[in-house]
Amino acid sequence: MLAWDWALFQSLNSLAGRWPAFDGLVRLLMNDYALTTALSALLVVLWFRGRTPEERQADHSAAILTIVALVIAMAVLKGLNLVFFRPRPFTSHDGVRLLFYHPSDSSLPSNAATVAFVFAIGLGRRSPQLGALGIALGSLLGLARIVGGVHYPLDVVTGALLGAVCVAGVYRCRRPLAPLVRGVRGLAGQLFLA
Amino acid sequence: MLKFVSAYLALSYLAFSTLVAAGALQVVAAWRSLAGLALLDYRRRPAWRHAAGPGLILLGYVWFFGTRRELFTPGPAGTELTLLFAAGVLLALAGTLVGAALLRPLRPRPAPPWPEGVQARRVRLPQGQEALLLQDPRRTRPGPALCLVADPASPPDRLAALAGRMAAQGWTVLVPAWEAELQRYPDALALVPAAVGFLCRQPLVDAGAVAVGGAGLGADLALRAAAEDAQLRAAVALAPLWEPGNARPGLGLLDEMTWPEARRWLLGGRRRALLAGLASAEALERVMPRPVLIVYGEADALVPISELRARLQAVAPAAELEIVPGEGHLSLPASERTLSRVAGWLQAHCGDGQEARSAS
Repeated sequence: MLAWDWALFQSLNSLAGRWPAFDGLVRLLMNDYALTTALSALLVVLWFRGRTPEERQADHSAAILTIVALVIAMAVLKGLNLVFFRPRPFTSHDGVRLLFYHPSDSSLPSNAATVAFVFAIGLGRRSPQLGALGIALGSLLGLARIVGGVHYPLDVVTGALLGAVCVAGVYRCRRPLAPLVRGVRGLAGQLFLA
Repeated sequence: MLKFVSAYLALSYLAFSTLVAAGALQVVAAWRSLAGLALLDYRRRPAWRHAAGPGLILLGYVWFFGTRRELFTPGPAGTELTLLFAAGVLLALAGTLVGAALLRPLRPRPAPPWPEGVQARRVRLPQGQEALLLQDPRRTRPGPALCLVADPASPPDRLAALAGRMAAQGWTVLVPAWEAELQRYPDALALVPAAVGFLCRQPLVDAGAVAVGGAGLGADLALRAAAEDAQLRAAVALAPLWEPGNARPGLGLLDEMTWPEARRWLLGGRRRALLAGLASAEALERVMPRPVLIVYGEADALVPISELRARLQAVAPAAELEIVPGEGHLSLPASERTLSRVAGWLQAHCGDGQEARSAS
């Protein structure tokens, strides 16, 4: 598995450092701001897009549950980082073409992929179109981080799975979360925002 | 716990996320015609619909990635970025709500459309309320009259187009003002009888041909007044609200109006109490078998129209229901299609010569 992971990493990372314009694009996609902000903005669209009270209720529930899943995913990531550490590719191997600064936390799972896929899967639970867009953006982010030399493919896949599992877990336990959803919607409703 | 590494980068990201969230809000405001979030009039300027939101998002990306050199050095952690983005959304939302409220009144509104020959004058009813009386001075014999009740929160000119159209057809039209002391139940019940009494005393009004109409909460009051006064020949209700549940604070209000307008529209909670007291759905049964026309805009975000037809069928099967495509709750009374339909219907059921037609 690790040999396969390293081989795939090498073939993708070999694309870096050849064409300055391509490197610039990868840097734009792999940083902590560009795609995660775009994914967060899709959640804003989900909140306000409904036409009928029923659509709005379902959209708002999906947005709130996605935020709960994000908080849980971040807590799980912190916990995993305390008990497990995988070195980054550029610290374990020579010749990695790095297009980014040296992150010092564990390579596995990919934090960025986890967050991106919480958004993507959370959006997809309510809107296939927004979900597909989210998955496309999340996949681009994961791919760019492999090409840019900060993650192995397995880190990204694990991060994506962790994000998906967190969303699925929150949806499985959504009954106890119903008072939270109602409370947030009630408060937002008083401000004409739900 | 929160370090943000670089305050400069954190503040830059806050500004970037504010711009992106503001762009996302404009995308959705244009897509869903949300008046309370729209910084521009996307209905009148369709070209802006596709440009404003994406333009703001693009501006954010170009500015942030084009000018911040520190982006590829360690910056705020994931949790910190999440908090900054949430703050950016709140800032964007507050800015958008304030911007939409400030910009909407600046948009050009059509001048009061009094048709040629129609005379409009302010009058005071015996009970002291103000009202607008419209008449065609060329009329020489008594004719039909219409008491038209606006929604208490709507600008006074919202029913001007309908009032002018009816006056141009030879009707005497009276639009009484909802004064603050009448915006509670049961005091509101005094408004229409006072106006109808005034109309019936006008020399050019045929007291047997008086109809009542209204828009929004005014329509609920008109239906209740028609139920109480068998002398009223017909009733027209433009987007009545029917029940207190349709006057709940919520996002639906921002489909139609800005945030401050929405606060005013609720009348500080009095709207719900008025709707409960007026009980216009029950009143509608008592208006029958006199003719009733109920009109809604297809895009009415406040009243669930999908279930309306079945409910009306159960309560008042003889009432006519008209759905006007493309109109919302507030835009309905000024729509040309509404004006033609209502004017034609009133003329047919209560207009000059209608009695003669009934008799024959």
